[in-house]
Amino acid sequence: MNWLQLDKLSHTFLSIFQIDEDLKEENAKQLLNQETDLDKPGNAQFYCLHCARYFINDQALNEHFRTKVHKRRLKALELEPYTIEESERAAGKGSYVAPKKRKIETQTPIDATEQKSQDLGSLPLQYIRAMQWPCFRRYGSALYITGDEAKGIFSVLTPYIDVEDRFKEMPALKQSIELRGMQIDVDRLKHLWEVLKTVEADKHKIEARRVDVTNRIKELRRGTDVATEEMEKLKVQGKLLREDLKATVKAVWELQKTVMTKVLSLPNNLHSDTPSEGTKLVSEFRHESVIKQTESHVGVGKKLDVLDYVNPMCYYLKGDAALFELCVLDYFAEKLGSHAFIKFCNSDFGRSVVVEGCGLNHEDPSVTYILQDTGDILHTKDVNRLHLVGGASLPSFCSFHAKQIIPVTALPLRLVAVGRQYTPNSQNLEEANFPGLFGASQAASVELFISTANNLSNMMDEFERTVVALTDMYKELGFPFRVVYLPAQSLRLYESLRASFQMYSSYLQSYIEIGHVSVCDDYISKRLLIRYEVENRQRFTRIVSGTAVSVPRLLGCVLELHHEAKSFRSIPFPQAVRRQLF
Amino acid sequence: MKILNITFQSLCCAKHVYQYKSLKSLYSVLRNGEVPEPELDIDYLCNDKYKSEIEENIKRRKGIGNIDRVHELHNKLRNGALSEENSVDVIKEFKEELKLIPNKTCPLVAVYGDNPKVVKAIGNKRKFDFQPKEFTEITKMLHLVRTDNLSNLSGHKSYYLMGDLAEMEQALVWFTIKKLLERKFQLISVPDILPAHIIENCGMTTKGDRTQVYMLDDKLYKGDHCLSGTAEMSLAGYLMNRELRVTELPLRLAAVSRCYRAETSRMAEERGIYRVHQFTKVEMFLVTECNSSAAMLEELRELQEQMFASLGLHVQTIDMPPHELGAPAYRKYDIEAWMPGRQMFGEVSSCSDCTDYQSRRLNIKYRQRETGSLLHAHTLNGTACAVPRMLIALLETHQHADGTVAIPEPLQPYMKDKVTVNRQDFPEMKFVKSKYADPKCKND
Repeated sequence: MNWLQLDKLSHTFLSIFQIDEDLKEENAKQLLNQETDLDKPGNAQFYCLHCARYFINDQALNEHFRTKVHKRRLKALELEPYTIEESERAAGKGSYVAPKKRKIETQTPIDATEQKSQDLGSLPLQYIRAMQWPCFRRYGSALYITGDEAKGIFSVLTPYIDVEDRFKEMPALKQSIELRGMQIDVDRLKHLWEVLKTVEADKHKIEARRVDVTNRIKELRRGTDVATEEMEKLKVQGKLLREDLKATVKAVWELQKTVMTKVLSLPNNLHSDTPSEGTKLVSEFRHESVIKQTESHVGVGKKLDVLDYVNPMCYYLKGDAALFELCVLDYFAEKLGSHAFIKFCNSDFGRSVVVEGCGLNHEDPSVTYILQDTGDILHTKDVNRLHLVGGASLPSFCSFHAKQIIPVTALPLRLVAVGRQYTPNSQNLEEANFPGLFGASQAASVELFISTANNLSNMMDEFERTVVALTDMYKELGFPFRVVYLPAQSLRLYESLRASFQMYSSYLQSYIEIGHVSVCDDYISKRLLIRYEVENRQRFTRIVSGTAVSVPRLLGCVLELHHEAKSFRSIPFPQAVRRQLF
Repeated sequence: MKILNITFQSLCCAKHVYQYKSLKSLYSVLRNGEVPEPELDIDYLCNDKYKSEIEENIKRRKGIGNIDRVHELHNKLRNGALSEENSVDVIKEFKEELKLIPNKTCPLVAVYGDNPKVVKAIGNKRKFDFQPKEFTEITKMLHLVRTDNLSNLSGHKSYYLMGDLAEMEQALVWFTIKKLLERKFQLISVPDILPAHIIENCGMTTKGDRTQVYMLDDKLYKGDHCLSGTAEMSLAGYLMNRELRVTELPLRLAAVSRCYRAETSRMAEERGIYRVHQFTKVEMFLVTECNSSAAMLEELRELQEQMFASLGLHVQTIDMPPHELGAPAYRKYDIEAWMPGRQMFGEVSSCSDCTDYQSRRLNIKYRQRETGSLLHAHTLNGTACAVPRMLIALLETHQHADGTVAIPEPLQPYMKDKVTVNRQDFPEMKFVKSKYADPKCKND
């Protein structure tokens, strides 16, 4: 495949509604003369207004103008978009006016010869950019599937979307978005939501009137006196109503696509303990000031002959370090077991619907590993792809809980899984740039997952208890560490509070997260329908999740802490960890 | 002039892209370790004297490989009557064809024909005074596994082990590791995602329709990456391009890893978690001097038999006939355990002697003690414990009439000295088929 073809697949679809906005002259002018943006194909210099797509060069853009996709889009835009006024007219207010047709023309093709001569040095970058993410299979949400898409796609579940409730807490929502540094215009979204609601209401009205008309026709038929004139009138009315309904339903789907995907990308509200910026120290154990060390854990590990590091995707732990991995996993799982956690061994795969349900971007190849489709994916249009997430990960637990009703007697249900965690790129850039175990894509981990009843104090109780329990476990390990609450901008979408267990890397001169406990509230439960039943009423659970330990990170910090050790065995490990083997 | 200028620009672009691409591929190869050129035994494979022998071998193994073509190409190359471009193509094809020729077969096995031979049986079929239940029934009664309604959430045939069964998995791993450490095995923790060429050099195909290998989406990730189907591949990749000291041999490595296999089966006797896409496995990988691999294979087999027998299983060892060996193995034992619920022997483990098949392809060598010459080492591999099959055999063998299961004594220390697996005391969840939340379902 050449990069021209690849690029065609990588565009985002904008709805007809938005494009109509774009077509207004002042907007159009702006869009056609965008500033150079290195993240967009062709540095955002080659844009098709009507299809809302970027192209990598003039040739590609001009070629696009000749395609069927573009021509079809022009045709679709010829009709003026559906408006509230029109819907009102359709519902019986005022008289019906057929939507006007207008002339839509392709923007003037860019004359290749008049293009300002490009600096040759900067050119390859375009192409490199275009190649780097050659093909996003963008079919939109795997979680929310509208009626028109449902024909081709099997939808697993419909998330419970509490838009009204979210908008009721507008200040909290706005604060969460702002502190997380996200770019979502909530007011505009709210406006769109209102529009959607009116259009939906219209749909119901039209439906009701259609039923009414059919009933009257039936009545007339039953009657002996043949009121032909009346009958004809009703039939015409029915026909018009049917057309209206069709248009309205289409409008609803179109709007839903825009609004719902945006609503689904809204973050969780923040817990009051989450600091606005900077970390908030919760506790600290054996803090020692350490001087900068010149040797990283990769070097130390090599010196001790326990680590063979090739790249973030490939490292080998040898001998005692491999044993250390198993022992640490066992230590944490055992200890959590004594705190009434039930052991699990989870599936390593998760589908897109679950990944998105967790508030992770299921289309981003740097968030989860996306697998090549195998036989059990029904067709290539299927949005519900297979992801490698690892058994000790949040999505894996969520797959287990999705669409389940937990008996209330089982709550709080505390689960722990030992296994792997796979993450293509470390979230933190500094860590990813450093070639070492901190940015490794495969990590043996212990993951925990607690479902609690719909009661804030219950959930916070569980959270506190777990943080205390983990703190005790780390104390027993005996290495210096600290527990902090992370600032809003470091939180994932699903988190409202995150307690981070960190150790100091004396090589990087910064703290590295070894484990964490997060408050997810009912954010995930609502999206994946995780419920419990009490007095015959279903309610959504509130979830506390976390990673008790990520072994490669712990190992990296321990190696840097004991860089002067003669052998791996001489590093002081507590008896509880040694017990199993060494 | 303008047109010329544009052509020049686009040419420059193309050149840059090309350079970038080649740089990138070079970079990734270097970081993954250079893939060695296979050093195959051309003197043997292309000698007319052995041609019929090799042909016979391929036929007996029902394998692929075309020795006639190899000889034909070899002769063409030897005569040297080819033009330069032509010879490049011929050399390429020659190498490809040469790679396809399977390993030699142990002469003892060659006489078996198509029938496997049972070489050893340990223990007896346990007599039950009740109808022994099958694994799925037992786990359902005791609430130990969930396999239903997961296809659309976590993938086809996925499963969750719960409570005591998850604990038993850990116990099995620890039990096996301890046994292996006693036998001077070195433990290695290995990556589960590997570059495709390592898997191919181990003798597995990654391309084609009937592939058993999961791959990362090649449009999203640079280079071909596969999920490892067994730690044997990762360990072989670890040893790739190594020159070992003779004092290090025999080198015994073991790894605990997750294995991913895309294969599926609709066979009734493979229902439940018998054949799954993902499981935990302890794998052994050994490197020996070139003449001691046969003796090592026997040692490996005895170790496996002893481990399984100590868990109270009734096992039989089978010497596999030539057509069951696959391309790399010279000789292979399968160990099958009796599964009373299914009333059949199921394969729980295997070990094979690959002689120099893998080491020639992955460039694993050692320096001989006496002469100091560099020789290809021999490699062996074996399963120490493949968890799901072991769980099936253990639960079905040690079940009581009331549905509970006795935990074999060697595993008890790793399970807080528990003696039996009883019904798990956390309540069962209810799966709701409807994809909508109940309209009344609302949090305050």
